[in-house]
Amino acid sequence: MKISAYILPVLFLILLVYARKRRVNIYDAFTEGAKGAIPLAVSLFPYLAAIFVMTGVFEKSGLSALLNSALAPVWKFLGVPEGVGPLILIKPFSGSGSLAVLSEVYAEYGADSYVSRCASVIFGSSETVFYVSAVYFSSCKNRKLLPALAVSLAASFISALLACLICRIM
Amino acid sequence: MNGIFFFLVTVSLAAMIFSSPDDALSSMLAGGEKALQLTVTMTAVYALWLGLIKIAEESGVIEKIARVMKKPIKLLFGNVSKKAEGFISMNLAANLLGMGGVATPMGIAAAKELDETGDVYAMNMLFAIAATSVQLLPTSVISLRAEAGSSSPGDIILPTLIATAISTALAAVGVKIIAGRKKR
Repeated sequence: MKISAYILPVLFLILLVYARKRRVNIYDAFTEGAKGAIPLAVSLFPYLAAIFVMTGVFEKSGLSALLNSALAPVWKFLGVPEGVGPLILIKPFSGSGSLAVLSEVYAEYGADSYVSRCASVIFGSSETVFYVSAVYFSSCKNRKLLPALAVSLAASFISALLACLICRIM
Repeated sequence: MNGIFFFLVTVSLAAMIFSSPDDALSSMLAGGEKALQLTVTMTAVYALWLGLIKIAEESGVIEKIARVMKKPIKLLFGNVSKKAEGFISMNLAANLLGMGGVATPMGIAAAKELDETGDVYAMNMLFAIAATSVQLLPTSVISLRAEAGSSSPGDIILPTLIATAISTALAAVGVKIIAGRKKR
């Protein structure tokens, strides 16, 4: 069976037994930590709301589809197969959105096709950059994170192009 | 983010005025609803993980993990506090194993800690590394491909590993170059 399924429960067991041995008040410690969940979620919500409203209208307006067709020649020039382009665009914004695109690619081109393999690698090797920016740093006062945002987007883009190359060879 | 939000929303709304004005409000509300759903999910996730983290913290586990990761973290993040070091190392470890649910609360805790000390460079580094994800095993992609009828769903593991390593390395170097100079 899947080994990965065992990782978490085993880790939890080890942690609890170890903490008990070190005479930690497990119940008190847990509730003390869990207390922080609500304020954290409250500080998270407004940023999620902004991002989802933004991506919601962008998709519904048809502009994201329009953008995709406008960019088709660019993808061709960069060596990115048709069908993978939208995934590269949506991945930084939306995890669920890119998951939808990925499954559409599988359905249209077949799971073992070159296009699908490209899409798989791009999906698996990148992250929803804007989600990270919203979730990780929502409660921070310092907001000078533009360099990291720019660098992350650029690095993800370059590795997406490389992914298409790698899939051609491997 | 201000610019991006303004641009995307205004342009989208303007386009909808011509194509489908009825959908404007509903699509925005749907966005808010999705946000609320995710917030509720995240509250449960946080409660569990923050509780467990506290146990790990009080039993000294975090300190131990931090000790192992000390060198690589110092190389990337510079001098950060002990607490931040612990959170960063656990965030990296969880991301590596593809446990996004675990990585997120750790990352938030690390960001908060760095924020309090005003270490903008380390925050940028944390951002870049988290946003380019170093994942050893893309489990969701593999299972999705298997479901779509692939004959060898695992054949994307190595290419994915190469691509994700390249993107993370690029991002780390990029932050070092751009934000590194402004270090105190």
